[in-house]
Formats: sequence, structure tokens, C-alpha cells
Amino acid sequence: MENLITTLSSITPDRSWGIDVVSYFWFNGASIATFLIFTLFYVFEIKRFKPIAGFALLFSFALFIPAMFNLLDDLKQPGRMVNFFLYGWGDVITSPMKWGSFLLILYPAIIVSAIYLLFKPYIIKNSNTLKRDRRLIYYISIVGIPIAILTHGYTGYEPAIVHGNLLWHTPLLPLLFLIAAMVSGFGILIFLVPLFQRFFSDSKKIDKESLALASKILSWILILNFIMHVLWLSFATVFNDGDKYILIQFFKYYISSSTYIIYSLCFIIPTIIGFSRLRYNTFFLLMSGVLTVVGIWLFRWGIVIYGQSIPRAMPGFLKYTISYHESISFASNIAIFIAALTFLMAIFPWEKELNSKYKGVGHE
Amino acid sequence: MQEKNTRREFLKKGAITSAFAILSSVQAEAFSLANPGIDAKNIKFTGDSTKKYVMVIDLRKCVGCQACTSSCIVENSVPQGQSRTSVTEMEIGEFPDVRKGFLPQLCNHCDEPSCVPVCPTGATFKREDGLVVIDNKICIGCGYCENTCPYDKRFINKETKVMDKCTFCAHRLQDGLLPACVETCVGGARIFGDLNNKSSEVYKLISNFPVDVLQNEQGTKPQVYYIGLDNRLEKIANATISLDNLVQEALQLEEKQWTTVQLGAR
Amino acid sequence: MNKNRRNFLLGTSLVTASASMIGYKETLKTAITMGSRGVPTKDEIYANAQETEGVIRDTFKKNTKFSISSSVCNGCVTNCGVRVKIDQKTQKVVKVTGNPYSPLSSDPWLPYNTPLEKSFSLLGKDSSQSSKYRSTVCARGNVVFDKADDPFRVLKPLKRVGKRGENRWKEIDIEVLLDEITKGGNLFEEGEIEGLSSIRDLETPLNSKDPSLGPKANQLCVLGTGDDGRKAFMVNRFVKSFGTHNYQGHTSICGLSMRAGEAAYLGDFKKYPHLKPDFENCEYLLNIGTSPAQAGNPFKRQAKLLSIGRTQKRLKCVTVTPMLTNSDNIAVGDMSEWIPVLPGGDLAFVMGMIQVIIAKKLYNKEYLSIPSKEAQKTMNDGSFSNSTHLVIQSGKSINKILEKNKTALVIDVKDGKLKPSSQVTQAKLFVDQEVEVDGVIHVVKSAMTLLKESAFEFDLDTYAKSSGISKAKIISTAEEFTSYGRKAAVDCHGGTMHTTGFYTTYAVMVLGLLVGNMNFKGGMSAGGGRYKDWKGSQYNLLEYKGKVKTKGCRIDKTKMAYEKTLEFKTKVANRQNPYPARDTWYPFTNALESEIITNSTKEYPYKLKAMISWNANFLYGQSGTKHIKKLLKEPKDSIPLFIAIDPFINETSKYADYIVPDSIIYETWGVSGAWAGYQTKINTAKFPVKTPKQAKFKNGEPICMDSFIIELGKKLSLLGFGKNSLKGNDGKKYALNRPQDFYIRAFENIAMDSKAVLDIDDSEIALANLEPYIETLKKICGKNWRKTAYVMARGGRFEEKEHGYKNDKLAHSYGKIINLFNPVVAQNRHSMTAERFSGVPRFYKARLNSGELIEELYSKKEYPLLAFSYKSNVLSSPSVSGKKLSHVRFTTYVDINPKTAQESDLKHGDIVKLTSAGGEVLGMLRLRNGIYPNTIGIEHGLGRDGEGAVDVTINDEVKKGIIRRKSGININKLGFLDSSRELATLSDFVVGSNARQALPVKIQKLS
Repeated sequence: MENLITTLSSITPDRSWGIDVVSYFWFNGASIATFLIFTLFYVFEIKRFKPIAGFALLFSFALFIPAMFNLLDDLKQPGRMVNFFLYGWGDVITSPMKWGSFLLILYPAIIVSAIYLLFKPYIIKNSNTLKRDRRLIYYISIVGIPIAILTHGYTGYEPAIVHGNLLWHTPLLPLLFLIAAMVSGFGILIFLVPLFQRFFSDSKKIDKESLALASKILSWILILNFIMHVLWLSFATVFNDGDKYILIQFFKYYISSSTYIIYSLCFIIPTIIGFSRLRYNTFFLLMSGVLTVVGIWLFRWGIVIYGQSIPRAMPGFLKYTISYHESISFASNIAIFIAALTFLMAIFPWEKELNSKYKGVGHE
Repeated sequence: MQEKNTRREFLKKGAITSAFAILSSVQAEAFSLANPGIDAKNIKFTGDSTKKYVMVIDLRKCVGCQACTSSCIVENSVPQGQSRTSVTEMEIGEFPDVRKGFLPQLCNHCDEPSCVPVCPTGATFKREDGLVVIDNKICIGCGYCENTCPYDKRFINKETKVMDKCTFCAHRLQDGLLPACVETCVGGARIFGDLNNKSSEVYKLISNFPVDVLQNEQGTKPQVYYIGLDNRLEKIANATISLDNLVQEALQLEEKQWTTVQLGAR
Repeated sequence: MNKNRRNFLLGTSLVTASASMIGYKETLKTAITMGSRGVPTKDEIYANAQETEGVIRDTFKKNTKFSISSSVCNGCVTNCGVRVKIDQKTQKVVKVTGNPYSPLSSDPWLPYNTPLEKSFSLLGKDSSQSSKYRSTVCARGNVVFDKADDPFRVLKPLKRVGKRGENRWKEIDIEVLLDEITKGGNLFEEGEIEGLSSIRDLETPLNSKDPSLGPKANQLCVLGTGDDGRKAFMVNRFVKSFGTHNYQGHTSICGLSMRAGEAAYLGDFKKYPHLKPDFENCEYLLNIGTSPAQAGNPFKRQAKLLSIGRTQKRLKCVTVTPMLTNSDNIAVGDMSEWIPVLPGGDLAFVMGMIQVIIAKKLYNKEYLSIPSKEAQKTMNDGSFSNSTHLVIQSGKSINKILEKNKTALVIDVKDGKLKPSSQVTQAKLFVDQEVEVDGVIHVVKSAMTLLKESAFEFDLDTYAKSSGISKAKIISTAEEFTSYGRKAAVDCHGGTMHTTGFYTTYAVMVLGLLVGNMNFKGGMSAGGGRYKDWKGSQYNLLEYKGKVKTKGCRIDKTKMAYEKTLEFKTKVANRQNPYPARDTWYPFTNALESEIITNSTKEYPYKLKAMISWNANFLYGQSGTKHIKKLLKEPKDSIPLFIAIDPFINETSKYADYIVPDSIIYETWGVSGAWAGYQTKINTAKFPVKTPKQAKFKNGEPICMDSFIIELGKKLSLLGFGKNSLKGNDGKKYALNRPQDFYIRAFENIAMDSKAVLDIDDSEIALANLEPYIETLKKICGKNWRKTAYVMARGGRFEEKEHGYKNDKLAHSYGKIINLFNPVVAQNRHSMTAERFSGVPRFYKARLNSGELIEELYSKKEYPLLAFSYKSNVLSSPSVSGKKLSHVRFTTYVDINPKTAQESDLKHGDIVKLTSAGGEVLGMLRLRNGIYPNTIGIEHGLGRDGEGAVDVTINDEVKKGIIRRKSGININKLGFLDSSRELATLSDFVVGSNARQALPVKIQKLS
């Protein structure tokens, strides 16, 4: 490499987003995606999604809880969380993070209401309000769809508006985020639903048809994801202005070739599975679930960590090391997810909902 | 029924009152477009509206001595390993045609700051005299502003755990003193003053010399102006890195979360 | 779902939820209790900024929580006048700023009589003068004050436990220490050690066979370091009342080659005067082996004037160094230039320039032809030289200047006749002929002819090859340099610390002579001098009854020609060839710290019995220290009693038997001047401005160098101390019992010199926080107390800026003859090789004393690189214990050119080992474009083995060394012995200055 400029004195700039933010983006995305999958049946009446809709709704809540922990833990002053709601309303237009202050209240309220309404008939046995509840689910979900999209869209806006960051500053980023969210939502469903069906349902039967359809849809989304990546990266590097040189260096020297291989395989293999008969095979199904979950996690990592490693005014690139504290909180975060998931799956009668004959609004 | 309604009404009122009381006790000046300090028109928050503070850095006079770096550390109790201002020192060119380049850097106190509009709590804002400052008591430490600054000039203070950056020594300005780095600038490169005052040195320099700002294309309208800036010093990702992180690693000293690495070294 | 499965799920949930609390406990607790993390900031907007020193609203109103006192920074050896802000409650220094009255911190500086209040308000934000009078502190000065609170500081007297150098100590009472070192005895269970009382013997010869070596008292050697303003006290009061001939500063390991070369040029080997460019007015500045704004002295003053000169496009600054330094700056365009030179190649480059200047007749002929002071006056010139003086070429008087009645004879250009120089206005410049004086015929050559012959001894190709600078560049530089007339100046310094450094400096100075720049505005200056301080209008503080006129031979074999020794005389008497001597003698060197331990060990000229080092650190600063350490470890072999006065246990005091704590920055007394590079009188005064931390003597004085030697002197009954030992000019006598008795009188001398300063008023006393000194001042200075206080309030006395010049010349000029030819040098021989030293600058290749060439001894094949050190703009040897400084410069690296690195398959950041013939060091490799290929550059200031870098045991308690202080590279560990001498480190072959530049090394990758 040419070293036309050598450094004698410089500082290492600080960066404040770590693994918490990576996880936040992942969980937030997976949560809204599963909620949207829930609406595929309860709003869009795609019948094949009936068997996984209940799972999806519960998952969306289980995934949202760790996201909140990420958010809180990421703050250097979590005790001042309330300031988020009290001050700075003047920036409500320009600060995507500020958008979160109402989205992060609205969105969980919608999931919680939906869960309540969906499972109410099975908990309060003699409900006369079933019809009204179902109608409410429909309306809440309709409102919920844009809210969910915004709830993840705003996280895409967060890095996207940072014009000083060459990797982030693109209008494609919120869309990329949403697509990534859908990938991880389908991925987590494809991975978890068979497990619950096999080990925790009385019938112990895996609903292969629905999952195969999910897998196929996933493949289409992965194609879209690929197209978005091409658009994003080609405009960021090849077709960019002078900034491209730094990004080319970044992709060429900063990211190792094994990272590229793992990242590609995480998406290529599930695409193949989804488009082939393999999607009916539980093993391959589980594999495609795991791979997409990991792949999107890598994408989030790439955005947050790699994105921050690009220097703005200093020589060299930055390397992130996970601190002891962060690795503990990462593990705690996974634990919170498992706790929330198992708790919700234990207390809500999802199996009954699964077996119900409900076919949608007006179709009873 | 009537009675029931009254009771319900009473309960409702009670609930609202108590909720309000809780919120008020949290912060008396709750729900602000900005933050309580600005609302109260505290001079620390508003600054002197008749002034417009800027800094001119005459690079021809910089000798890269780092006196500014040192004095800032002392004046503002900046923790070890962090900096509000520093001077990058580089060598440009290949032997024997090599030149020394210095770039003193600090918060640019931009007129269109990237950091301010993204703050979710109104903790960072621009004062009427042009200074971009942070309310240390309100900042929640989300780190968003740090990531939006195109100049890498914000950091979470290791000791106070809130966002930190250059304040142009606002506390000294308030008392009629110059910023510490300006006062101690050995070569006389740093010149500070009020751009609204047409007889000020900064006004004359900006009027009479071609001045540059860092990364003009960011559109942030920095208020730190450079005379004699060589643009090769601005974006220097390709330069060899400072080895301080690497040597600290080799000496097995405290582990830093983010360290500088050379491209291709991975 | 069946119950078991549900319970399993609930169980899992419970377990994972509780487990997650390990990580989230803290966050949740803070969130729920709405608590704060970290240390809360003091102010919502100003965060943890300091409270300001005061408020300026038209006038300055000081913050009473702080005192602001004028003092002197000791972060390096420039001794800048500064102002110190001290928290009155904690008695800690919180900040340091420049003293706007001091030319070492400001330019222009405030007129001396500016009211103190104005000196603050003028520097305020809304003042139109604040940029003009800006008073600064460098990166070091801004932070180094925290060394006073370093945990490794020595606050109580220490006595070693175990063997020398083990770094184990116990604290002892100062009275016990005084007792033991004066009386001696079996102090360490290692046998009898002679105490200072019996060493202090002015009668008995130290060697009965050779009384010329002097009395026993010479067997105490006192080592100092750079003058921090207290050297006069140590030397005149202690050394001269003890009566030893052996006092040394640190020059020989610092910049002796420069000092000696300039002393030769200025023809004064007694006072060793030196020159600096008049930075303020010069238009072309040729720096060789020195870099203004990178380092150099006065650091800030040079840097500021350089930055102004270049910005005004008045000054072109050219630096000839192996490495690009901060003297260059791309923003000034062609007002600055770097000429890369091979380490040690500077002599060849300059001799090449001289050759070109003579060949092309680019010199100032009219000036060089001025033969005398009288002619200088007639010609209205700035100085005169001996360029036209005639040097006798043969016979008994060889190398003497042809004189009659002590007046040099020259040939008048008007009539070609030989006349006394005083009667000639323009003398013939090039002379090579026979002349007749009083019937005797002499073959003579003029000094200029000798220079010409010397410069043409080698051709330009040889000079180009040896310097690594092309012929074309040598020619163009010579042309450019001479094109600026008398506004071209030259400078050189530490880069010349190699084996031919003396002649390098001499040659550099002669470049200035060739354009006649001495005493000219924009030319060379010997400095503006100082107001009379020690020996002044009120007191002569240096004289007292019983001051000894020391005599004999110095331990370092300096100031004495070999031909005067008994050894020489005996050999001659025995009809032996007197050459070589057993070891090298240095007839015109003033002192060589680097020779003491080795000489005492080999008992040549004699063995020392005791050594007192005061802040000296030759084991860090001397090239080739490894070999010295070994010797010092053995008390019997080297020096039996070693007392260090030192605020820290440094590399050298680590080997002491006793350590006496010294006061430290802002706790000390002193009066310092400035190096050259200024044109007006400067006296910077300092006095304790905060409470010292060290243990105290019975009389309440904190233990420091000054109080210690007073008590030691009294114990030894030396006449320089105690009752009636200070002399007033009015005949009155005063007691010297405390440091203040001495220093306050020096302040009074300064205040009363020439036109006395004004009286201070009460408001200024308050502003300067002088209240604690008022009673003492009244007692010591009587009616002059307000004038003395006036000086203290302003941190000294500084002459007005406009007094620096008279028309086109300097007001304070150097009056003596300039030596193009130095007869003292020419008349001496090397005591080993018997070769005559050249009286004019001459090119020599890097060599050992014997004349063996370094390049032949250490082949390029084995040692392909040349290592050199450079002075840091941030670090200095007394700064390592400043904790905050590590923030600004963490450590030092091994600098190399990327091309050289590539050839050796080395990368930026590799850990490498450098090996020389004398030692090895490890370091991290740093690639930099601005360094000569095939060389290694090392920033000086780290790689420490003392001052907190290594573990130390005091009273059985271990203090762990700080790894950062040990990190980095000390080039001196690569230094080696001169294999042609008996136990001596490599040095300049003429004056003995320690050679640390241009060391042949090899490099090896470790990781």
C-alpha cells in the first residue's frame, strides 16, 4: 500500500455503539417482522399462515422485550431514561431516535392488545364478545402494520441520516433494515415454530406446509435483500464520488474474506432451500432458519460495528473489542429472550388458538 | 348510579392528579421543546446573544507543539486517553520530498451542526453566541450525536459517563477570559473572537484571507476556520496509524474498546 | 400442552430470567432508582472545567480561592517564566500559564512597568491586545507540574539497604544522614568509608608522588545538571568553600560539541559563551543538527519567532537534519525547507559549503578583511575576526599568530606592508608568504588561507558522499545562504553530538563568519545578558572569607594539556616517546561528566573518595551507560561514597548510598537567565510558591539542595555558611542560614541594578500573593523591600524590548575577536595520537580517539543502519514523572523510512530489536516518510529505568514501577566504548563530548 502520508501523532476517536445496538436492531427487526407475519392471516387472510400466526404474535412480543433491555443497557445514563420523554421535543422532526419515544410505546401497546384479544376467548371461557374481539384484532392489526414498519423504519433512519458516515448515509438503509427484519422474522419463525410444535404441542406435529410456504416467501425476500445490497453497495462504492476510495479500502482491507463467505452462505443456502423441495425437510428448514438469523445478525453487526469503524478525521480504521461487561450483557440479553419466550409460550394457550377454526373477519 | 359515577369521577381525577404529581416531582419543568436550562433563559445555556464566537487557526503559525492539547486536559479535567482538542501531525510525500503537516482539531461549533438536531433529549444545543454545548445533567449517553459528528469530536467522558466535547471554554468566556488552548498557543496559530465585532482579529482574518473549514461538503458550516489548510490532511484513512493503541496492547495495558488499526493489518 | 411441558417452560423462564439479572442488575437498578452513573460533573454546561482564576470586566478581579504567582518552569532547561495557579486549600498547582512579562513566554512581552492588574486584563477575551501579548506554556509546561505529587517522589532522606543499585532503601533522619556522611565509618557493613570531614583536606596532596594533582579535597566530585537557577549557589557556596576542583554540569552528555565549537569560534574557553540567531530579524536561518520549534532553547521563543517570521514571508528556515522535524510546516510553503543529511554527515556538508563559498568568492570580503577592533569602529561594523591574521607555519612558534607587542600583525591591502592590526582598516585576506619581523623571517599563512586549504583538502564529491547531500544541493545552499547578506544566520546543537561534533560546530559558525553576521540584526547574537544578580549593587553573594581558590588536576582530565602532566614530563625525562598518554586529556574542555566514573575506576588521574550528585542523571543521559552502571555498582572500585540530592530515585541516584530529597518545580528558589536567542536582559526569579512536601530540618526549612548544603557546610565548618558569610557592598555582613538569605538578596540586587525598579503597592502585593514573604522581605531588604517585591511579583526583571537593537545592530553585542583560526586549538595535540588539532574547521570522518574509522570498525555489512536521537517537543528527561504528559505523548518509537523497512521486510508496528556494538534495545517500529533511508531515529525522553519506571523498595515496602515510563527507547543504551581507549565511552576526539549520534546498528524483527 502506498503510504504517502505517515502519521506521527493522532488520537483514536471514541465510538459509543456496541453489541447492544447490534442486538437492538436485530430484536427490534425480528419483532416487527413476526408481528407483520401475524397480520398475514389476521389482516390479509392468507390461510396458510393461520397455523403460525399465533406463534408469530407471541414471538413478536418475546422479541420486543430483549430489545428494550438492549436500549436501556446501551445508555450510559439509564437512570435518565425519563429525559427521553421529557425534553428535546423541538428535535422531534429531525431526530429519528426521538421518534422512538412514541413508537416504542405505541408498538408494544398494539402487540399486547392483540395478544390479549387473541387469547381472551381461551382464557375467559364463556366470552360473548368473541366476534367483537376478532374485529378489534383486525383493526388493531391494520393500525399496527404502519406502526410496526415505523418502529423498525426509524432504526434504519438512525444511521441513514448520518451524512458523515459513508456506509450509512443512503435512503436505501431504512428499506434494507425492513427487508433484513423480514428475513430475520421469517428465519426465527422457521427455526422456532417446528421446535414448539414438535416438543410442546400435544399433537407433536410439525406443520410442514405452512413452514414450506414461509420458507419460499423467505427466499423471495432474500432475493429482494440481495438486490437491495447490490443497489446499496454499488452506489456506495463503484458509483460513488470521492468517498468511494475509503469504502473500497474498507471492503478490500478491513473485512476479511471469510466474513464475506459466511455472510453470503447465510443467505444463499436458505434461498436455495426455499426454492427447492428441501423446504419440506425439517432439518433444512431449521438450518435455513438459523442461517438467516445469523446472517441478519451479521448484517446488523456490519452496520453498527463496521460502520463505526470507518474513520472520519483520523488515520486508520477502528477495531472493536467486546468488553467483559458487554459479553455478559449479551448473554443476559439472550437469556431475557428465552425467559420471555418460554414464559409467554407457557401461559398463553397457543395450541388452542392453533386448533381453532377461525377463518378471519366476516368468515365465521 | 349517580353515586357510582361521582366515585368514578373522583377516582379518575385522583389518578390524573397523582400521575401529574409524580411527573412533576420527576422534573419540575417537564415536557420541554428544548431543556429546562434554555427555558429558564439561564445565561450558561443562552450565551451572549450579541456575540458570535469563532476560532481561526492560522496553520502557518502552528508548530505542532501540542500545548493546546495539554492545556485543554488541565483546564477541563479531560480523562486520560481522551481529548477535546488535539493536533494531528503527519508527514506528506515521499523521501526526500516530504513536508510536515499539522492539523489542530476541536469541535467546530458548526452553524448547522449534525449533532444537535438528532439529540433525543435536547441535551446538546447551540447557544445564541454560537457555542455548541451539552447539558451534562440531561444527557442520557445514547451516543447518537457522537456518531453524527463528521469530525470525530465527541466522546463519552470515561469518568462522568456523559457526552463530552470542546466548549470553547465557555466557563472562561463567561469570566472574560480566552479559551485555554488559545491562551497557550505557542506559535500563535489559534485566534479566538467575536465575528460580530468588525474590529476583532478573527473578523479581519476571515475577511482578508482565504479560509477553509474542515469537510465543507458536510454542510455543517463549521465555525473553526483554517488558514493554509492542505486538504490532504483532512481525510487521512490511508495514512499510517498512530501506534499508541498497538503499543499499549503490546505492553498489556488497559484494554480499549475501540482501537486504531492499519488497513490490511487484519 | 401438558403440565410437565408447561412447567418446563416456566422453569426455563424463571432460570433464564434470573440469570439475565447478572448482566442487567446494575442497569436496572440505575434505571429504576433514576440514579446517575459515573462521577457527576461539577457543572451542567461547563462539566468538570476548573474554576477560573478570576473575572475580567474592564479590570481583572482575582478569584480568592487561588493564588497566582510568578515562577519558573523546570519541565526542560529553557527556564521559562510562568504563572502558577495554586488552589489555596489543597496547596496544589492546578494550572500554569505564561508570564507575559517574560520574553521566554511572550513576544512582544509587556513593558516591565505595566501594572500587574493590566497584565491580566490585557490578555482577556475582549482585549484587542490579547493576541499580541499572548503568553504561552508548551505541552510539557502545561502539565508537568503534577510530578510534584508523583508517588515516587523522595520526601525523606534515604539510605541504601543491601548492595548498591538494588534499589532498596530505608528512610533515615536527616541529622543521622549528615552525621554518617561527614564522619564516615563502616556505614554499610562493607568496610570503612572515609567521610567528608576527612576528605575535606586542603593541605595534604591526594597523591604524595604527584602534588600537581592537588589536595585531598579534590577527591570529592560534585555533579550538577543544567542550571535551574541554583548553580551559582552550589558552586560558589559549597564547592568553592569545600575546596574541590571538581564540579561538573551535564554539558558533556548534552550539547558540549556545540558549546565547545562555539567557544572556539568566539575564542573563549573560559566562559564558554555561545551564540544563537537573532530569530526576530533574520531572513535565512540555516539549522544544522538543531530544529527550532521542534526543540532547542529557548523553545517557545524560537517557535513563536519562527512562526511569525515565516508567516510574514520574511524568514526562510532551512533545517539540515537526518529527520524532518517540526521546523517544517507545509502551510508556510517555500519559507521552510528540509535538507536531509546522513547522521554525522553535517561536517562534510558544511565544509562543502565553505569550499563553494570560497571558490565562488561569495564571502563578505570587506568584513573578513577587518583585522582589529579599531578597524571595526572605523568601518562601523558589528565585529571583527582574525581571518587576516597570520599564522606562523614552522619553527618553535608554529601555529601561533604573528604578533608584536601582543598586537597581531597583518598585511595592509593598501600597500601590502606588514603592520599592527590596529593600524590597518582592511588587511589582506589570503596570505601565504614569508614575512620579516625584527629581522626574523617567518613563513606565514593567513587564517583565511588556512581555511581555504582545509576546505579544499577534499573535493566536493567526497563531501557529497559523506553528507548524503548532492553536490548540486551543497552548491545551491551555499549560494542561497550567502545571498541574504548579514541577515543569514546559522545554528546547531544536539545533532552534532558525534565523534566529530566539535569541528562540525566550528565549521557551522564559520559559515556565519563568511557572511559577517555577528552582532547584526538578523545575524548572530550572544544574548542580551542579565541584570546583575549574584554579584550586584547591594551584595556580592559569590565572595566570602575562606572561599578556596581550588587547584590541581580535574578528575575528568579537562582544562589541562597532557604536556603539563607529571606523566608526560616523566616520560620525556626518561627519553620515552611521551605519546600516547595512558588516556586522552582535554586541554580546552571545561568539564566532562562522562569521564568521572571511568577515570576514578581506572585511578587515572586519581581515584575519587566521594561524589555528590545534584539532580544529575548521567546513567540515563550518557551514551554507553551499560558500561558505567557496572562500575558504579562496586563502591570500592569506582567511588566509595555516593550521595545524591534528588527529588526522585532516577537511573543514577538509584546507585547512590544516600539520597537527600530536593525541592521540585514551583517549590524552589533560584535566578535564571536565558540561553542566547534573546536581545535584552533577562533574569527570571523563582521562590517557593506552594508548601513544600519534603521532611524538614530542625530549623523548619524543608530539605532541599540549598538547605542541605547549608547544614552540611556548617557541619563541616565551611566558611561559606552561617554567621557573617554574606557580604554587603556597604561592608556589612549577614548570616546565611536559610536559602532565602541568599536568594532574596539576589532579587534585591536585580531590583536595584542600574535604574532601580519601582516600589510595589499593596494591591499588587495582594494580586501576586506575596503576603507570606513581606516580613522576610522587610527583614532582609530593609528599605528596598518594596522594590524586591516588585521583582518577585513580575517573576524577575526583563529589559524593554526596544532596548535590544541599535539601528542595524544588536544593542548587547559580543565584543571580542572572532576566531576563524583558534590558536589554542591549533597549539594543542591529541594526547593519544600526538596529532596537532586543526586551528580552522576541517573535515574528519567519524572516528575513535586513535583515528580508526567507525565505518571500518563497524562495517555496513554487519551494522547497516545509522541510529540517531532527536529531541522531543513534548518529552524531556525531567518530565517522565508527569502523569498527564503520558496523555499527550504515550511512548517513543523506532523511526524508519518506509523504503528501508520494506527492504528488510519490516512493517509499521513491528516489535524490533536494535543492536549496536555496545548494547541492544527493543521498540516498536514506526514508519515515517521524513527520515533518511537506512537510518534509525529515536525520540529522546523515555525508555526509563528510574523515576518510577522500576520497582523500588522503601522501608520494606515495594512500590511497583509504571510500565509506561519504562516503555520507549533510550538511544544511550546503544552507545558503546571507544575500543582504542582504556574504559571510556565513545566521544568527540577533540573535546570529549559524548557521542550518541550516528551509531552503527542492525535491526531485527521480534514479532
